[in-house]
Amino acid sequence: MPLTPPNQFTPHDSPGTVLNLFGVVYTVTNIVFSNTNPSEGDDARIDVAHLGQTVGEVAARMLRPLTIPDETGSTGRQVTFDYLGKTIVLDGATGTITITVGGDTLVNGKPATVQSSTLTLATNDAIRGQATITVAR
Amino acid sequence: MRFRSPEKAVADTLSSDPDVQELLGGRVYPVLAPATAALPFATWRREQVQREMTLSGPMGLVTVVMALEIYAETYEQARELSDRVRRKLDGSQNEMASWTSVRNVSLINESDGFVTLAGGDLPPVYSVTMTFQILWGPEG
Repeated sequence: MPLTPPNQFTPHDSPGTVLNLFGVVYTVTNIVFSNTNPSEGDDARIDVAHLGQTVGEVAARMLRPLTIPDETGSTGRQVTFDYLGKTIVLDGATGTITITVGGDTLVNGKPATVQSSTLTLATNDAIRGQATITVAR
Repeated sequence: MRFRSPEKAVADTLSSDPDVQELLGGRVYPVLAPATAALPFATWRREQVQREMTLSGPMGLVTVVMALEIYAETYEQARELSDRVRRKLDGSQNEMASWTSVRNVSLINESDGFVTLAGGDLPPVYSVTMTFQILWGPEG
């Protein structure tokens, strides 16, 4: 009687459905969300200190009257994730991103642009990649 | 056997290889060899098993560190046997058994020894311990 190959997966095994980038599901091992308000950067305010201020007083600053466009296209919101697999995330690619962890949707179909990505192929290890995505506000 | 065992698949590969079999016969045992086993013989055991975890749970990608210990009456025989094993296993990949997809096998360490086998009145024997890293997973 032929032996039946047993299932090598544990009951909790799954292929990974946490992160969907441009319609591709990645097997993700790590996600970092980074939110930085670009209007709060140093460049967003100008120095308007004047002689009417007293010694030791904090120098007066105010918002620039006009918005400064971010030449890098940054929105101040980034998602960096590590994944397993040999899919290369192309830099500059655009689409939508959805991230669902434990049933909670943290990012749902937001426009996204790949800022940078790396894919590491090493001996004695799985193929591992990392990508940094700029997400629309 | 109801569990998947990449290290068993590797051991079976050794048992079926003509070059290795010429010296070793089928005397490859898990963990412990019977006291009646003739020399030379080999045992294999798992030293470390690491399962890759993802944010959605384990994905079935496993790295097994396996120690293969070869025992022989002479040092030359132990070295000859370990060399044949190295040629067979080091760098081997793809499916090596119908139950297990061994994706990559690498020899990561080798060391010599001189030991007295328990359970017999035989003189001490020479040993070579070969440490392999086996990467296997859901993809063949």
